[in-house]
Amino acid sequence: MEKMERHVGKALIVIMASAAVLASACATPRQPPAADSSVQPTPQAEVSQPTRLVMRTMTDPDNLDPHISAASLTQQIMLNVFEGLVKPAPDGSVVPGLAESYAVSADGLTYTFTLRSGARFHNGQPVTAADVQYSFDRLMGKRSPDGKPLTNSLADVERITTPNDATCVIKLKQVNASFVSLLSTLAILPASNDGQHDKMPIGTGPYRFVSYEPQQRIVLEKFADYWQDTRDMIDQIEFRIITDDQTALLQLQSGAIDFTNVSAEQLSTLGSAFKVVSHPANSVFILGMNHARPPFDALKVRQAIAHAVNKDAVIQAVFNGYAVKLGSNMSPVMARYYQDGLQDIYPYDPTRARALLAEAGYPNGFTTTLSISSHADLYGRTAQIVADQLAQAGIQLTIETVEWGVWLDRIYTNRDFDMTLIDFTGKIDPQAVLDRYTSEFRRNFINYKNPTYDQLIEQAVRAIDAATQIERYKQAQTVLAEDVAAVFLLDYEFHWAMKPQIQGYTPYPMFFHDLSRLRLAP
Amino acid sequence: MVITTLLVVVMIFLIFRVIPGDPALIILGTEADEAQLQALRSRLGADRPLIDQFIAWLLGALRGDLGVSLRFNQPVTKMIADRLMVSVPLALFSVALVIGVSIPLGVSLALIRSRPVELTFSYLSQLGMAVPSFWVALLLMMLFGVALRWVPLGETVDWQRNPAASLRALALPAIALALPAIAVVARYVRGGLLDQLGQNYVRTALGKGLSFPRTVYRHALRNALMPVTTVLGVIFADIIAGAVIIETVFALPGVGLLLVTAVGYRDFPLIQGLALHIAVVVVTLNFTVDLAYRVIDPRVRLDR
Repeated sequence: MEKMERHVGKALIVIMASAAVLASACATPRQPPAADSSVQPTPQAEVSQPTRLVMRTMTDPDNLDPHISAASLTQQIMLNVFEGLVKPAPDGSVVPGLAESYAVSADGLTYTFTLRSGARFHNGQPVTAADVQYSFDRLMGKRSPDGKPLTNSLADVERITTPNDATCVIKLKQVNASFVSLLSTLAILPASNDGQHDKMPIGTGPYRFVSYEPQQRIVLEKFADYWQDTRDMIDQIEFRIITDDQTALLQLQSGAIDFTNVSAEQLSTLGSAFKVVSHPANSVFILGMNHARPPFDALKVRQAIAHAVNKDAVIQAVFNGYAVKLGSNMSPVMARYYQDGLQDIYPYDPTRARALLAEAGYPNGFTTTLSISSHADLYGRTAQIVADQLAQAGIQLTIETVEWGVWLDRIYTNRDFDMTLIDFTGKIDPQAVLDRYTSEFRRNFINYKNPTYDQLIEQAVRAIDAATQIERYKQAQTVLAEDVAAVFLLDYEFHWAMKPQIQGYTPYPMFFHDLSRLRLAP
Repeated sequence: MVITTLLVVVMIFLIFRVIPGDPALIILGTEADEAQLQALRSRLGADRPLIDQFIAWLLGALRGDLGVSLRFNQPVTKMIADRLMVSVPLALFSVALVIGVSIPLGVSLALIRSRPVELTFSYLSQLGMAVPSFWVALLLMMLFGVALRWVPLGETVDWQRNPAASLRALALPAIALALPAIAVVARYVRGGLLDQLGQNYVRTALGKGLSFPRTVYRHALRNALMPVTTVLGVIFADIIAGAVIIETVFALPGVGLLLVTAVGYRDFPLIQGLALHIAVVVVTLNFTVDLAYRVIDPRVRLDR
């Protein structure tokens, strides 16, 4: 007790002391000086004023260490700091990154990467095969005390070797068609920075990490020694962390920030003072049903629900028309893999819905619960419309709103729900998009199980030739649609509002602000 | 005081046991695979039973170590100290506004006694109490930040560099925070003073030749402020609670914004650290209010 008292006293002192030092001190760390001469601005940049941009991001990074991080919003920023052996391209394919080129053996099991000469880390050290080895070892758990991998992505890798300083050979246990695509987000880190990756991350990308202040900002600076020409890139980019959408819009209008995402609603109030770039998000927004619970285990009931939902009305009401209707778990943005024509296999038809319900043994419909997260506006707004639509077919929905943490725990992990709404964010790898409906997928939270589907996905990922792979993914989408694994609603658009001087904003089918393409017009 | 604080900390722990949520999953989101989740869980130590985490935290806290935030991977003590640089000035600023505006306002309203003024005030104060503060905050930002551009939005407070600018950056949040409180306190001041002015001792004071202003300020107002002081104690606590919303709306990196985030992420060490600090502040405030009675009450105060 005595100790406790002392502690409370201490807390009091902290409060009083901080009040007292207000006028005199502020512990906010300033930007640290550049670590070495290699990151000095180029001579041209010294002549003119350094260019600077303030962009909004919605939340704090989940982790600065790219091998720990999994959040899309962190990737959106940090993919400018880190690179893999390959890099994502705006069309969803991959292009050479830290590997200049690669070759695949005829059996599809051995990948030989030739490392780019002249690539450097932000601390000036050259990128060596040892760093590549280190990074993969770390991801595969060979450097963790418990030996557990940091990701499941490399589960198919048998071993990685580096025969010389410019070559890295990766041998797989079995064919994995997604393998190269996976590498685009697996960062190569310097072995010399071990233990510091989550504090002062060092990468090889066009921008280097400068500082992070929780709930305030992340600051990046152009890396002049990047392996591509950086002369026209913007010198410094600050990501301001602003949670509230309305606050972000007001800050854009007041000139405090230069770039933010805006909702379809806000778009109409924006006026012509700002430039807007819109593009489909490559998301999949679904109305999920728990297949393990009656009546959703009956196909006819799911078909009835699919007929009862008017996707076009949702698109108009919630997204002001800025969304594209889906039929399966893939957006048309994934052109290469997308199976067209599934949007209307269960067209909006309340009468048909009632008939199907009667056939399934529910002539008077039924009552169920739609559980949604409160963290984003779109769930609540969509829920109301869907509830109205289902009511017309005789299904009475009780909308239950839960906090995001509860949603993740109760619905996403423990699968305790009847119906829910959720949007899956864009990935360029079709395997990552479709895998979540396989029976054994750890977070197949809607409990969808279909051996045919599992087989198609397995065949796709093990296919050596691209044509077979694409064919299987398309067939898998058709199975999902016909089975009504979920009601696949739509892919919404992102709207990026920016001041008119910003040029070159390039949309990707994933979460990525490609800063290297941004320019500031005078 | 110590017991109250300890109770708060234990209660937070108990509440935590019943609300679901896995910090690792909330931090990494729906895109994380199982290996990523496991890796983060063991790094955070969040895979241990909560009671173990609580005991470890309590033992640490007794030594003055509040642990490391799960979400931000930084020492809790340092994070809170940084945030107090924003929240303490914000709270002081709003309290200054509340006292500086509501007491003169209440006094003038009590003395003016005109029907239209009374009605207008009554209407405005109802409005002030009823309108949600986040909405007031948005309106203030639209008017002074976007339309008039008097105040920069999104400015962060760096007292070392420019105290005046820092104060200006806090003006809108402080006003948004103070407005409902002003409406309440001004009502109390007005009501209390009217009450006192009808008392016999006021008539006596006037009768023995004391001037009206002197009667009001030396006698009636002092008595009227007694109940107001009690209300102010509650209002201070309200301001601390209100800062949670206002800091979120203004994206001000204060204790309130940190608390919202900490709860959202089930950041156990951070929540406990914040709860401890807030409990200490509120308990201290109540104690200060008790002391203030003695200052205001002439029966306790020694006459000059």
